[in-house]
Order: sequence, then C-alpha cells, then structure tokens
Amino acid sequence: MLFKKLFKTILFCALLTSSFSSFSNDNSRRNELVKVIDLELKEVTRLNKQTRTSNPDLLLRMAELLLEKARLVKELENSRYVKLPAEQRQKIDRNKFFSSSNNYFIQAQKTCQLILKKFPKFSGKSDVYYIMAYNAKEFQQDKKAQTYFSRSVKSSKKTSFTSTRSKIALAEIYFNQGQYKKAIPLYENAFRNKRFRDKWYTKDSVNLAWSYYRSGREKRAISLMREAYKLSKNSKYIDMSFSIERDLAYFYTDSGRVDQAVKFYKSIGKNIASNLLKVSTYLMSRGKYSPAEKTLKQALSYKVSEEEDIEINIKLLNLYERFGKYHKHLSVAKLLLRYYEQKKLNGEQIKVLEYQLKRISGIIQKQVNGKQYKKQKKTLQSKAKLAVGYFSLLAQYDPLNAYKYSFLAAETYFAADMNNSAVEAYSESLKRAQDINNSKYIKLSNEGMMAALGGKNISKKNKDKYIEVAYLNSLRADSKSKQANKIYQRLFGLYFDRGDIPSCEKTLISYKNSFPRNFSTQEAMLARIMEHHKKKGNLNGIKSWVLKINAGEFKVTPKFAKKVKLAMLTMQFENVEKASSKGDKKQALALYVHIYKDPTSDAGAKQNASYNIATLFHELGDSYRSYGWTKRALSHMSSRNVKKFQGSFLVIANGLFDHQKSSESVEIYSLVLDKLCKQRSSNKAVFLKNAVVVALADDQGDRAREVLDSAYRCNISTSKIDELELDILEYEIEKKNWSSALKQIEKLSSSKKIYAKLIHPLGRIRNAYLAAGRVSNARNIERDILRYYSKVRNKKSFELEALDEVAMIKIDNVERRVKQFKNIELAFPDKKFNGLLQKKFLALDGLTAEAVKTMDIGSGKGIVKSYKILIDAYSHLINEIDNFTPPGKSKEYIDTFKKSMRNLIRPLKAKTADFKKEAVAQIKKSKILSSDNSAILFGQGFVPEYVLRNNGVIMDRGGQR
Amino acid sequence: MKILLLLPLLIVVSCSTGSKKEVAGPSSGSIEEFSWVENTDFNEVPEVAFNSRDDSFQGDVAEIDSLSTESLARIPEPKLEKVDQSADILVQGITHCYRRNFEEGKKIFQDNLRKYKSHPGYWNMLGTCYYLQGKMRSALLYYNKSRGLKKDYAPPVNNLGVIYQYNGLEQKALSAYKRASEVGSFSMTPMFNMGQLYLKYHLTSDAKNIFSRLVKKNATDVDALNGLATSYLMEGNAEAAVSLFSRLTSVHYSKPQIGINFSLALADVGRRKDAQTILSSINTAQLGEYAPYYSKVLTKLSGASK
Repeated sequence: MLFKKLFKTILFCALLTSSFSSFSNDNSRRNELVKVIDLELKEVTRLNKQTRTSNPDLLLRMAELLLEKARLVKELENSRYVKLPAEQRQKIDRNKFFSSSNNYFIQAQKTCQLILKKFPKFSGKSDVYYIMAYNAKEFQQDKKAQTYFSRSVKSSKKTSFTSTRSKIALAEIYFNQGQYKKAIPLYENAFRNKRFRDKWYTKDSVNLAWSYYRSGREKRAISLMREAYKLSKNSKYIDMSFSIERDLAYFYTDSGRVDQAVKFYKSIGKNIASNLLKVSTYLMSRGKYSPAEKTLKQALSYKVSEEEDIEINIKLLNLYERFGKYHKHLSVAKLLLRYYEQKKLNGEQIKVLEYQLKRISGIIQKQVNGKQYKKQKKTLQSKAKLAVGYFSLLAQYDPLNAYKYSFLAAETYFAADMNNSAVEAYSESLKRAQDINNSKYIKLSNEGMMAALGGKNISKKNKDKYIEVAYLNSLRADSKSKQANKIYQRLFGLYFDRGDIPSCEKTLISYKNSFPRNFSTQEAMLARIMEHHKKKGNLNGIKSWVLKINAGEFKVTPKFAKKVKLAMLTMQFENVEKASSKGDKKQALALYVHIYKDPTSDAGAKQNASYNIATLFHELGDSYRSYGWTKRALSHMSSRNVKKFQGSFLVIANGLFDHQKSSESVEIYSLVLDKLCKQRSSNKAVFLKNAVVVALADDQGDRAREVLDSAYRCNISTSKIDELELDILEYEIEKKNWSSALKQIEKLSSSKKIYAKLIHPLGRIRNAYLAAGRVSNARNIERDILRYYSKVRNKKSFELEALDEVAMIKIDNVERRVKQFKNIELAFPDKKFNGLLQKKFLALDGLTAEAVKTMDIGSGKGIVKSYKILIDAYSHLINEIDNFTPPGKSKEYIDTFKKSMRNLIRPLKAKTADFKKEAVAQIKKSKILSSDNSAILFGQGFVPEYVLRNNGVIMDRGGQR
Repeated sequence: MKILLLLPLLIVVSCSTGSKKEVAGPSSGSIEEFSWVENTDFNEVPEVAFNSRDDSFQGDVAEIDSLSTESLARIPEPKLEKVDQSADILVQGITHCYRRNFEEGKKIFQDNLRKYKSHPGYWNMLGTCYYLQGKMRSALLYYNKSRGLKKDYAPPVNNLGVIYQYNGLEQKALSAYKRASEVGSFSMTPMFNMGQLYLKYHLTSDAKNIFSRLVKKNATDVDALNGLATSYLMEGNAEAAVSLFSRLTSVHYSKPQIGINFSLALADVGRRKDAQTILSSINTAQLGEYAPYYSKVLTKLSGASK
C-alpha cells in the first residue's frame, strides 16, 4: 500500500511533467527526473526479483516507471532532434533516433501485458489498463487507448481515482473525436467526485463546456466556461483563462450575442479587439462567415491601434475572399492599400494584400470574360466595374506595371460591352505604356481602343475624344497592313465629318504613300475632298489637286482625272453661269477671258472658256473675235470634243461667211474638218464642201486644193469628194488653167460615175484649144468626150451643155460628110451621071442618117444645126440636079432629061420642106437658143440681128405687183 | 504633252498681241479686249421682216424705165447718186455697189447683218454686190442663200440666170429667167432678160410678146421699145418697127443697139436717106461688139443704094 501511494505520487508527478513538457525545456531537469526514476526502478526491479515476480503491484510500479522514463527520454530525444539542422533531420532514420525511448515504451507495455496475463484477477487491473491506454496514446493508437481507458473505467471502482482519471481521459478522446454526447457523461461522472478534482479541472471543464456547446447546450456551456474562468484565477488550477476568454467570446458571438462577448471582455478588462479577432479566426475556421464578419466588425469598433485595424482588415479581406463578398473585399482592400502606401503593413500583410488583389481581380475578370454572365448585363457590368476597381488598386500598388493593369481594366470593360468605359481605360493604358515606351502595350491598347470605338453604344463624345488618337497611333505602329488600310479610311472619314479638310488631305497623302496602288480608295477620298471644295466654292483647293494630278505627283485613273478636272471646270464656270443666267453676259465674257488667261487653268478650262467666248462673240455679231476665239478653242479641243460641238462650229463658220469673212470661215471649216477627220460624223462632208466652195468663191484655188487633198484621209464618200473635185475643175477652167484642168479631169476620170460631168468641161477646153489653133489637142479631147459619152449608159444623166458638146463633135463628122457629098459633081455621059447621082444619093442617105443620129443626142443646138446641114445638103442636091444640063445633047433629050430630073427632085424638095418645118417647130417649142436659128427661120440671106451687149439684167427687188 | 505644247503657243499669241499695243476695236486689236461691249449688245436685234409688197424701188428712180422698180442695173449714174441717199439701208448698200464703191457697200451689209439675216432681199443684194465686183462664185453663194430663205423669190433666181448667161450657159439662163418669171409673175426683169435672149436667137414671136408687155407697162422704156421694134423688124414688119423706133429720140438713135436696126427698118420701108442719116449718126468709135453688125448693115444699105 505504501508503494501504491508512492507510486501514485510519482506517477502523477511524471504525468504532470510529461503533460506539460512543453512548458519545461529544461533538459537537466528531465535528466534529474530520469535519475530519480532509475533509482526507483532499480529498487522496484530488485524487489520484484526478490519476490520472483509474484507481486503484481511491483510489476505495475515497474510499468509506471518505465512509461515515465520512456516519456522523459523521448522529450530529451525530441529536444536533440529539434536542434539538428533541417537537412540532417531529413536524412535521419527516425526509428533509430528515437529507439531509446521506444524501448522503454515497449518494456512498459510488455510489463503491463505480463501483469494482465499472470494476474488476471489483479485488483489494480484498472491501473494497468490506464497505463496501457496512456502508452497507446503515446503511440497515437487512439482506438487502443480508447479500449484500454474503457477497460480501466469498467475495472475500477466508480469513485476511485483511476476511474475518475480514466473517465476524463476517455472523455477527452471522445471530445477530440467530436463525440461530444459520449464525452459529456464521462466528464460529468468524473467531476461529481470532487475529491479527485485536480488542477486540470479547468481544462477539462473547458472541454466539457465545448461538448455542451457542440451539443446545442449553449447556456450550460457558457455557464461552465465562466466557472472554469473563475477557477483559472485560482492557483490550484491550471490557468485556462486565455483560452476561455477566446472560447467564451466565441460562444457569445456564435450564438448571436456579440454584445455579451464585448461585455464579457470589458468586464474582465481585456483587449476587446484582439480577442474578437481571435474569435473571428475560430469562427472562420468553423465556416461561420456571418458571425465571423460581425465579430470582426465589432472588433473594428474596439480597435485601439492601426496595427489592430490592419490585422482586423486583413482578416476581413481573407474572410470576404473565402465567402465571395468581393465588393466588401474591395473596400477593405482599398483601406489596406492606403496603409500599404503609408508603409504600415508588414511583409506578411503586404503579401496577403497583393495575393488578394491579384486573386480576386483574376477571378472576377474570368467571370466577366466567361459565358456565365453574358446574358445578365447588369451583373456583368457590375462585375466588370468591380474587376476594374481591383485593377486600379493593383495599379496603385504596383505603379511600374500600372499600364498592364490599366490595359486589363480596359479589356474587362470591353468584354462586358462597356465600350465607353473601355475606351477611357484603353486611353489610360495607352498613356501609361507610352510613358514607359512599351511598344507591345501601346499596340495592344490602341487596338483595344479601336475595337471599343467600333463597338456598340459608343457615345459620340467618346468617339470624338478618342478615335483620332486611336487611328493615329495605330497607323504609327503599322501603316501598311490590311487593317491600316481600313484605319486610314476611317480616319479620313472622321476628319471629313469634322470638316477638317487639311487633315483629310494629309491623310490621303499618307494613304497614298502606304498604298500607292490602291487607286480606287485614293480616288474615293479625293472625290470627297473635291466635293467639299466644290460645295465651299474653294477653287484653289481643287486647283492644287489638279496640279498634283497633272504633274504626276498624284496618280489617278484617266477617268477620275477627267472627273476632277471637270469638277474644277464646273467651279470655274459656275460664276460665269450665274452671270449668264442673270443676263450679265458682259460679266460672263470677262470671267471666261479671266479663266482663259489664268495660268493655273488647264487645257480643259481654256478649251471651255475659249469656246464659250467664241459663241458669245458670235452672238454679238463680232466676227473678228468670234473667229479668233474659235481658233483658240479648236487649238485646245480634242477631236472628240470638236465632234461634240461641231454644230456650233458650223454655225460660227457659216456666220463668218455671212459676215463676208470668207478666208476666216474657210480656216474654221478646214480646222474643224481636220479635227473631225478621224471621227464618225456626217458633218465632215459639210465642212469640207463649205471650205472648198468658199475658198473657190474667195479665189483661193490653192487653199481649196489643199483642203480637199487633206480630206482624202478622212473617210468622206468618194461621190462627195468628186463633186468638189469637179468644182475645182470648173474653177481651173474659169481661170483658163487648161493644163491644170486636164490634170484634174484625168484624176476624176478614174471614176466612171463622173464621166457625164467631165464632158462639158472637156468641151470648153476643146473649144479653147480650137480657138487657139491647137487642133490636135482638140481632137484628143474630142476622143475623150466621145469615149466618156459612149460609156455612160444613162444618157439622161448628161447636162444639156454636155450634150451640146457631144453633138457639136458629131456634127463635125456630118459636116465632113456634107463636104464629101458636095465634092461629088454630076457629069455626063449618062452612065457616069447615073453612077455619080447614085453616089450622091448614097452620100445623102449617109449624112442624113448621121445627122438624125446626132439629133438623137438630144442637144438643142445639135438638132438645129443638124437640120440646117440637112436642109443645106438637100438644097444643094436639088439645085445641082435642077441646074444640070447634059452637054452636047439635043433639046428633046434635054427636055426629057429635065423632066425626069424634076420628078427626081420633087421628093427631095418635100423632104427639105419637112426638115425646115420640123426644125422651126423644134426651135419654137423648145425655145432652142441656137445661132443657127436665123438660117432655119429666115434662110441664108441677110437677117437683122439683136446684139446682146450687157448680158442679163440683174434683179435687185421683186418689183411692184 | 499636248498641254505643254499648247501653252507656249498661247504665250506667243498673248505676247504678240500685247506688244503691239493696238487699240482694240470691234474688228481689230486684241481679241481679249471688248470694253465697248455692253449687255444690251447681246439683246436680240429685231429683224426686219421681208414683205414682198414693199419689195420694190420707190420714187423717181422707179419711174425711169419698165424695170426700175426692181432693178438699179439700168439706172444711170447721176440718178444712182440720188438713190444713194435713200433711207433704206439695203438700197444704200446696193447703190454703193452699183457705183462701184464695193467696200462701203459691203460694209453696210456687214453692219446690218443681224437685222437682215433672214431677209432674202438682203442676201440677194449682197450677192449682186459681189456679182458687180466680178466675184461670180461668191455672188452665186449669196444668191443661193437668198433662195434658201424664200424659194419663190424671183430676184435671186433671175440673177442666177444672169450668171449662167455670163458663163455662156444661155439655155440654162433662159430656164432660170423662166422660173423667175413664174415665181414672180409681176417681175419684169426676168421677162426682159428672156426677151433679149429670144431676140438674140430670132425667136421673134416670143420676144415680141415680152417686149409688148414691157412697153405697155412703160411706153417710154427705151430697151423695151427697142426690143419690140427689133422683133417686128426681124419678122419683116419694118413699118411697125419704124413706128416704134420713132418714139425714141435722136439721143437714142446714136446708140448702136438702137440706131443700126432703126436705119435697117427705115431702109426696108424705103426711107433710105433717113436710114443712112441714122446710121451715120452712130458713133463708130464706140461700137464695140456692134462693129461687125454695123459693118454688115452698112454694106447692105450701101448695096441697096447702088
């Protein structure tokens, strides 16, 4: 029994030592205790040997001592182990290092097992189980420990010390396992026996209080906790006040009674804030968000220092992060950032803040970018704003990377379709990137800005404010891509809408440099500039471009160049048109002259101006100026334009002729013809004819020849050209240029169609030759005349004068026959006479036939002359026969001869009378004006004449009615 | 390239006109100068309408012969001087031309073009001006212009006949006169021209009809009386011829175109002495194209007297 008491004393001393080994670091003290234990263990071992292991109490004592020694040795080993460098600790074999303590644990365990085996009915079995339970606990064998403690409780007396301790130990196991309902009765039973209440009662009370709390018995828990707090002030008990202050506050706050907790801390004079902070930590660990937040907010109310404020807010920051309360999280973060900027955060706190800012901003940005909120616009936008809030805090936190955070903010806004905010944010990031010359982010920011500006709902204000910069920056970064192409056009459009034409022009030039071959776009831009200048009446603006185009500085398609020039022309002539429409034609004239003389006016303007001036002077009847300006206009005009205005030129040229300006009109006709030469125009023949006819009228034969010669290349119908060649032929004949006339005929003779027209001119030449005694030449011409006459089938196509010429040549033949006929003289004897007479009649028949044939030509003069010749021939024969008297014949013979001859000449006389009759009828009927008329009408004698001296009489007026 | 070529040309033009420092006028000097022009100058100039009833010469001149209401061709110079002062601008113009002041005449026509541009009489007279100047081709063009404006206007048709006749195309001329007398049934000049041609070619009956009408119109018309008398003479009616010739005065007998045939007629009626007197009164120095005929008649009369 003595041993039993001693044993218990030592055991509990040892237990005390082991339980609170953490509170004692004194290895020397441990060594001392080990020495004491060794002494007793030695003594107990000796006694056990003496009793030959028959006393279970001694074995129990041995087990207790071995267990205690094992714990102390392990503490010493632990102490050594902790002191080792980390690398060495990692390499150490823990079983080997802790082998010494483990041996003692094993020995203690074996001793207990020996007792239970050898002394199954041992009364102190509950103590053995108790030791085994502690031993198992030491080796973290909680189930074994639980079993042994249970056995200890069962095997011990209910009011015994061991029973009490075992119940408490078992309760603690259940408590630790969270089996509060099992722990509570064990604690309650153990606490009933106040004799064994030790200093650990406060600690065990705390456990029981927690067990109550966990079982929903808050009031009982608080009451017990407050009791334990009171006892903690007593030195008999372990001071659990530190934990209790915290736990009690937790109980209050967790049950919604934070005020009570505060009251409690106030009552005990403790720092409310720091304790609430602890509570909150605990609450949070329990997943109690709302109470934890409440607690922390209360804590903030009772903070006494900035440190506490920071600490609480750090907690809040974590709390809000864990429970997704990002708006509150952001507010706290802002507060903490201020502390950070004031350099009041410690390293850990800075890390937490940075982590939180980055993490939450990342989470929210991900949410904004994701699909989850795409259809919930308000939520999406709220989240975007939140994320941007974080990015702006990050920018403050990390100014060196502020450009990145600004960019991320902009991207977030953009993702949420908040384009107006995005644009501003991009602008900010752009500015920041530009400040540090970060080309990547300059580009990204600008691209983003442009995308946002092109997005939905962008306000005009923002567009106006940012778009130009965006475009310019984009082009600065890249001026040759497909994208740049579009941007140039947009920038141009922007400037144009603003009416900033100088910038439009600069943009166009830049565009041209970047995209020199993209004519259509350049032209489209230029067209808008031109239109603007046109609307504003800025002629100089248009001129400058026309000059560039003309100088080849700005290449455009010919079609467009024409259009631009036309625009300039339109403007140049606008004022003129105004003046004209107001009837101020003098002013119009002055403006046209001004345009013409303006050195910047191009050929088109000069062409239009000079043309219009010409028409105005024509209208005035000023042929001198009309002619001069028409010449100028023609010098500027292309063939196509001349063709366009050919009608007007014809009127002007005709006007010149009407003004008796023949040579001027010829010049205009021929100039226009020259321009129209290769064009399709029916007027070409008109201009040609007018030029030739007027030139001939003006006695400019050479000029007419020159114009006609040049017209051969102009694809004018041959018949029309031949007609004019005939005019020239007529002119040559008038001028008695016989050689030239013959050459002209030769030229014309290549066309069969013209033969009929060549006869009269040839006849005139022939007559001239005959008059000059050039008979041989005349005969040649006669042959030509007859040849041409014979080749023309349609005899009606001959003019009367031509028929006269043919007839006169034919008459020559008849006259030759008449001569031959007259040369046959009648003579006797009879036979000869008959022969000659027959010959004469034959000749008469021949010449009659020839004369009739000549009459058939249809020439009035030819007919009259033929009749005259026939009458003459017939009269000649009649007279010759009538007057013939056979020589050397008797009177009777002669009378008979004469009588028969009279019979012979009677039909001849009748025929002659018929000829005369027919001739007179023809002359009178057809009013034939023939010099042979008098011979027919009045015979061969003297006939009065009417000499027509002064040709016809000119008629100046129609006369009186 | 075209523009580059054109520019120097223009500079030359402007330099040359500028350096001369000519005083510009409506038909001289720089064509860029027009200070005298007023807006009213552009106003439409009222045209003088053609009225065929007024298309005749009036006053003293109209009384001279049977053709003088429609032609100034046979008006003697002193009379023309009076006509020159006519208020009618076209008459002024044509009178200048008849008096061979062609430039003045043509200028009048030029200056009045806008007033008369559609007036057939204007173009006919302008054509005559050129005809009188011997510019037949120009005359032809202006006559044609006149015809173009009024197809049934006799004067240009007649005048085209005159030009044909001038060119030796008498048959064509006759057709033109015929046509002129058809379109202008009151016109005497084409008739006269036809009558002359008929006489020349001994179509006496036709000539007699025409000259009879002319004499009826103006019994003192020398040319008409001469034509009618000659017609009778050719027909062999010397007495009628003598009767008609006798209406004329000795002033006319001295002219070969009258005196030769009158003397022939006198001889035919047996008044040989008178015939010789008349023949000898003719100034042989101015016979011209009458010389051969004069010689023939002289021979005939001399032979007859023998």
